[in-house]
Amino acid sequence: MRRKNVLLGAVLGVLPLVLGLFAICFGRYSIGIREVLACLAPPLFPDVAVSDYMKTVVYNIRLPRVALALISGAGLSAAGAGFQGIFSNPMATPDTLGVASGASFGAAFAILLGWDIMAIQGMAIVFGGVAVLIAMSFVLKPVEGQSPVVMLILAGMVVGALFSAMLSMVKYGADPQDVLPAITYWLMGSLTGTTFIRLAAGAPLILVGGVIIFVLRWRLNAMSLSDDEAKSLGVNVKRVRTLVIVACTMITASVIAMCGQIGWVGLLIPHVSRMIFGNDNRLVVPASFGLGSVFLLVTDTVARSASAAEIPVSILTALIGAPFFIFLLRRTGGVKS
Amino acid sequence: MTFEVRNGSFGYGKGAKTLYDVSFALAPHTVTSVLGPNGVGKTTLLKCMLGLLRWNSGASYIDGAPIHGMRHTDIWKKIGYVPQAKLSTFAYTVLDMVLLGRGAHVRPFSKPGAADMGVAMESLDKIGIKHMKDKLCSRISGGELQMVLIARALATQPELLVLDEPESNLDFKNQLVVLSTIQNLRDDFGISSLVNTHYPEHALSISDQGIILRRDGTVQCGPARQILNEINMERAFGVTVKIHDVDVAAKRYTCVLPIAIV
Repeated sequence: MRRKNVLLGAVLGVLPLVLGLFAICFGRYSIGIREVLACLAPPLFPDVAVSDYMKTVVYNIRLPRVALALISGAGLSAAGAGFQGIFSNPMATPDTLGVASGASFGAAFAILLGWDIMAIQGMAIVFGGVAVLIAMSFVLKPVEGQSPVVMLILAGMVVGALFSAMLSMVKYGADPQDVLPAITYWLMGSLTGTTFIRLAAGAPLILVGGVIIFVLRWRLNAMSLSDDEAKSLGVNVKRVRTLVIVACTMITASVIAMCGQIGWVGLLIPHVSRMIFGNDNRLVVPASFGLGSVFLLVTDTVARSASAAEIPVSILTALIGAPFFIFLLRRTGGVKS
Repeated sequence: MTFEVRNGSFGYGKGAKTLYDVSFALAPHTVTSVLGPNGVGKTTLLKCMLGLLRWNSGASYIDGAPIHGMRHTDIWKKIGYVPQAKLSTFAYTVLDMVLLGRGAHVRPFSKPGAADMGVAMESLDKIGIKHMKDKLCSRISGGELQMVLIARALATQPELLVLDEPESNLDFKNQLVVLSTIQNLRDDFGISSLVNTHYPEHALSISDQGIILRRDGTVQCGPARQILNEINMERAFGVTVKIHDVDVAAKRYTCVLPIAIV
């Protein structure tokens, strides 16, 4: 059983990279895999001719976008697994504490003010963080003997509702000719227009958050028990919970800042990982990295190559994700031992 | 290891104290039972003595040192806590569950290694459920789950086990399995236990020491046979009881028969 898991793990590690290379080939302007490899590693393919145009497409357009899809998918999925663990709740998503609503409001506000793309990204991250801080402030002084988890989840819902209302206000005040469509399109989520500079501003947050969740993955098992039980198992419950919340917030705010709202990935992928590997988070977290990156990569590649006009990726994650999820749930009955 | 509570008092919120001036000591290699009516605060007593709830006044001591001054992980390397068996949201395999008992020994940002795995297997072996290691905790019986939780506490390699109503909700056979496990751990491995129980008979059959928790929040504590008598039982539970011995095959068993509500 363990050996099989290691094997599957290796596949999940390699698969995103291989699929990533193939994804670079796809698009309105299709490029062969040999040409793509020749663009990325010229010394290895001296006999393959590549045009400057090809290089531009590969380097400036497709590579950053593919990288963003891989990183975001992995990040959102790990954040989902993290929240489901610390909240001991299979319905938790990366948005449970209101980070998506906060980040969306921040971005929409920046669009309303006519700020540039980097400022929009920055505002989204800041307000995503602010939303979670507000939610967490509700449980700063927990009631003795009571688990703060329910309180936290409720606080997250309240904060989410608050920022949704503020987002509606921004949309209501936006010029319906050009600003409102811009906000609406941004909210629907898209990986289009990714550049290395935007990636460099957002990816480190996702990577750091991912590392935090990865090193705490075994502790997530104990965190999904009751607080007292987790404490008696030597876990510093408060510290682990805070660290995981900070990590998930960094990841989710940063992903939303770069791609807009992408639903379903954070809920769906950890469950798919559990169906394959069982509930042990030592396996669920790395599996979520692998499956999540592949899922968002495939969805985004379909989104940009299926039709002449790009389909917002969040529509596809739900369209593909929801039926697939139900199918898996029916097939496996939820868990695999 | 000697565990002690000195003059502990605790109340939820501003209301009356649930526990009032509680003092007792747990000697090495002994089993202690805590008895008391529903809602009197037995679970609260366990949580307070373990530091999961904070005493309003008084303190718990391990070998004379107050536990609130000790490092979290140092306490939980010495004490294994067995909560009332309840299914977790995500069902883990028995081995993964028992492995969680290594929590205090594994560094904060690490995961258990081969040695920890060995200890977990040993714990399963000690109570004879090694064959269940790959089963899911959601697919085993309540009695088996209780044994898994005891194995998990043993994986801590504790000197003291604290069990919260370990034999409630179990059938006759499983009750005996749990009780004899507690006895064996004391006799074969020198591990002390403190057990919350609703059954005076169980307390009498396995304990060296008895603690009765009364409605006013005070405790009465002493050798089990002396403390758990008809008079004390009637006072604590409001029920007249008859205690009598039954001899079966040269061994003496004690029955506690509830007669009437006072």
